[in-house]
Amino acid sequence: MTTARVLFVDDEPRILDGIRRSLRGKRREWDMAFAPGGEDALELLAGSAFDVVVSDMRMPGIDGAELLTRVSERHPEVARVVLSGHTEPAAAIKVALAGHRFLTKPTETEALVSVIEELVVRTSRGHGGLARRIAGATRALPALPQQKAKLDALLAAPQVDLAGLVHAVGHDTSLTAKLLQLSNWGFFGARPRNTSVAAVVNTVGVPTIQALVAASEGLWSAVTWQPAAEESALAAWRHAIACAALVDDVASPAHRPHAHAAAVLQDIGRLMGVGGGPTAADPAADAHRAGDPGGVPYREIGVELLHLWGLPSPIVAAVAERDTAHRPAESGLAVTGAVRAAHLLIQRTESRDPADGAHSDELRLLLAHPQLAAQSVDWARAADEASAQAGRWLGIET
Amino acid sequence: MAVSAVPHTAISAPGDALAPAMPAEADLRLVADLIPHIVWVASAHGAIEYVNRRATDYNGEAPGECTDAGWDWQAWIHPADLPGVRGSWADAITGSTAVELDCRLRRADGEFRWHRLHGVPVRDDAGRVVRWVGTCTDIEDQKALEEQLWRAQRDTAASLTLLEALQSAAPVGFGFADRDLRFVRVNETLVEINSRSMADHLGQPMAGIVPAAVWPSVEAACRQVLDTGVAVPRLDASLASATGQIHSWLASYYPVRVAGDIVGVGFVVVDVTEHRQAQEFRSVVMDNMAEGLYTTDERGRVTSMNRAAVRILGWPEEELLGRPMHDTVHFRRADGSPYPAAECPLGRVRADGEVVQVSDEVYVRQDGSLVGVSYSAAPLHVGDAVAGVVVVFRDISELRQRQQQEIEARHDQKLESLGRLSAGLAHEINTPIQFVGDNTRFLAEAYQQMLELLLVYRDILGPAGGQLSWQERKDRAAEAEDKADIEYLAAEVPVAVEQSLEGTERVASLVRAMKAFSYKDSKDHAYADINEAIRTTATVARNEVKYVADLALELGEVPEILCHVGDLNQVFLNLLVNAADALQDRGERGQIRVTTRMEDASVVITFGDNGSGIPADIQKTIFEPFFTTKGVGKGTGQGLALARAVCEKHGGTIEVWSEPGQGTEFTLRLPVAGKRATPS
Repeated sequence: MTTARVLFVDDEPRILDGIRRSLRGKRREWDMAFAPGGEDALELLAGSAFDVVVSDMRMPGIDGAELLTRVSERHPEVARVVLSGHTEPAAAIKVALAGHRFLTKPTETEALVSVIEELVVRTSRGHGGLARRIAGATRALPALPQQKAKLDALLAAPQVDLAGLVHAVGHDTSLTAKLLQLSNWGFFGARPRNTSVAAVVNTVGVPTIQALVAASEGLWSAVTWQPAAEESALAAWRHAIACAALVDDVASPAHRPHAHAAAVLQDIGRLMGVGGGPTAADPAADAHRAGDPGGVPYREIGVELLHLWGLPSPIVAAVAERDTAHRPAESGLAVTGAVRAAHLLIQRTESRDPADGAHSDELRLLLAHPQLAAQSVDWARAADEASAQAGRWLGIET
Repeated sequence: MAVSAVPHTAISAPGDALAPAMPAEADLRLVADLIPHIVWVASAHGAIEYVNRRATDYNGEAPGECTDAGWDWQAWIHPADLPGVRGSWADAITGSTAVELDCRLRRADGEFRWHRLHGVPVRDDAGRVVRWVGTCTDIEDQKALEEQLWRAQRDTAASLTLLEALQSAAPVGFGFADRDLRFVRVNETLVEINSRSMADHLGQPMAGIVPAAVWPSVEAACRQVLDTGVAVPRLDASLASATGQIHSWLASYYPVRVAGDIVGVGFVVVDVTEHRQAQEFRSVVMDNMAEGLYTTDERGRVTSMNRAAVRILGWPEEELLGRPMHDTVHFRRADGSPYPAAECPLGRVRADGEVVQVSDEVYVRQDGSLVGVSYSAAPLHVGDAVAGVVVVFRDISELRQRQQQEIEARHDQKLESLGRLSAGLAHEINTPIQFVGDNTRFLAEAYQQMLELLLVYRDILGPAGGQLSWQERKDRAAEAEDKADIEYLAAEVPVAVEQSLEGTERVASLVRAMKAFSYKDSKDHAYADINEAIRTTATVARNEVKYVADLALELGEVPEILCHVGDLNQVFLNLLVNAADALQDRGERGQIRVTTRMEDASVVITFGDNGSGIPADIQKTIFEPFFTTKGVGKGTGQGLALARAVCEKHGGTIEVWSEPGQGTEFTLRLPVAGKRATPS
């Protein structure tokens, strides 16, 4: 493994001293640099390549949010970590768009080390660098016009319908990803191990979601959807929410929240591809917008993004292995198996993903698994219902 | 009666002159006595020579001595009439012409009665007057009748004139209509009320003149009067004029009878618009005023109350009306003890006509709960007597509630700034904790490495190392030292310890400042060091300021002042945070300068910044509550209002100087004594 290069930025020199001393044990594995402010950090980044930047938020001059935003534009391959003593939710929105991960001061050295070690890893085997650049440039995901209309209507109501909002967020790829990213940060209480989108919506609260939606829209307001791209994204979305509806029945209760999230997020890479990015100046972004992201499959970009954003690993794994034939363990289907099963069932419906086949033999095997066979459910019919439901949600079928 | 006294010569003479057919003198006398008038005979010169019985009966006295000049008739005549009678009589004699005059003659009982006197001369054949004969007829009754008639005529004329004058001048419409409901007579006011001419009315059907909106009720009233002969009083009518103004009238209808027959209907129309409006106004004011209002009669029983009174007292008006107010709602004192009616201040109002004002008493609601009130009561005079009392009262529990809300608003502001601070304080504390933690971890590792090195030394120097060659010992020591990176540790450990201690001290001093800042030990004023308070506030607010500005404290020699330092800290914090906010959007780092100095008997404190400044047009309003230029959720706009309130409470002042583009400076003057110097 090559030496990881990590840059630490803080206006308080004592902090940098402390980090340098406490990470002295890593000196043979990591190449560490320290910058006392945003300007110095940008200079260092321009001079040499880094894998991870760890920055304070409030700094005089170029503050953390601005620094990390510039890094996302100029050096999208650098993973961005916020290490801040500011814990108020109002700061969360800024951080949520600028950074990939968030750590609160005071943080244990072990936590810092493990976050950095995770981020040094790139998930794409064949296209590690490019997938990282494309995913790294993404600060928020675009919303399809249909999604936006639904959310806007819900959030603009004088009395927000919380159940309706939970339902809509549970069907929204971009918001699901962003909220799961946020919930992992500990801004809103203890870090949950296995949380549903509904629980996140309740903890985060309506005002934060409103602010988040508004801030994300700010990044994407200039995007105009190409008709072909929009159609493709819509098909992927319909497939995703049909799977999500079905997987609620397929997955065991313990795996249900992650399975649901993984189903909604399964084609997040496609959304990044067709939506284009805010980094129009970036040649890599240009390349993938054309529909051929430099030879990187959408799935690999999506998985890299979920990895960067620190979503729970069962979700990341399930998305990564959606197109991989699944051999279920005797003990159960787990998240990956449940998502794969739901995907294959939906492939036989109106909501199929045109990019993938039917895999009938594998499906037969999965349905024969005790976890599914034990239930007296007509799975084909359940899949059709889930598909119709997804169509209704999109307004395609009545 | 001396009838016999009439001299027979007086009558014999004419008898002589008359024809032989004439009755005898005695018969003539008899006839004369039977005539119900006074008959008299006088000589050619005017001396009365004969009067008949009627005359002597009337006069009641024997005629006086008959002298040569005849009867003294002048004594019979009213002194006032005498000169006239004398004159006329003299003229008649001189001219030998008949005389007729009216005069008063004295009756036996002394009363003078009017008589008409006729006298004609009696002539001989030669035409010479030989005597006078005449009568006096009692015309007293006739005269009285004439007088009465004349008076009656005069009274009627006066009444008519008065009536006409009244009709035309009175601000009341009069009119009279016949049985067919045609106007027979109307006055100018009625003509005006109907907005038509006099000619339009007379002889015309009422139906065409009276506005259609009220005609049905007017017609019904008129018909009722004509059919039943009973008056219809006070009929209401309201109409909107062309300008939209509402006019109100009160009309009464009366039967008009002539010789028992109803010949028509008379009516009186009064414009009550102003009265109605005044009444309306009064009831609107009464019912919409925030204070409760009730009136009592002279015995203290409720005669009216307004809506606020109903609300505050919790008694329905209809249940309270007529009840004695004191015994119903005012019978307790604030401490719950009984409040005898004899001690009620309202008694004084009724008895002496005094106006009283009372604060801090209680009324008892219908449900038994108490409501704190202050009230003023004034007598309602009718003539000189007090006919009742008007009481206006206010629910002071509402007032207390408002005061409570103000306190809460202040508390909210405190919480707001503390909330904002707490995020900053968390950062200020989390930062040293982070590096103290990192350094401690490093020190633990360093200790471990030092310990390992020490064990190597012990190893090679101990008995077990005795067999080793010196060179080998040196090599092993060097290897261990290299592994421990002893150079690095020697350089870093002291610094790590020093920084850790510094970090701990930073947290400790912050906690001390927080404690000093929210100084709650005493609610009373105490002498406090203003400079220390400013340093404390600066420490607490460090995180709010340090990213946007350099803070310069230029604190002069000032004495301790009597103050509530917790409140002042709050003010200093607000001013510091405001200054930092003013510098927030400035491109470069700003300057905040805080100074203290002594001036007269006051400490002068200034907070200056070189920020954006305050536009002149809002400088006057910045001290108003809820004034804020910050975005929603950024501030409640209580900060400067609170600052002013606190300064004033300390007998001091706060002023602002600001120049857009140059900056803002707040100047606080706080008297050392903690209150305004009393002018001596």
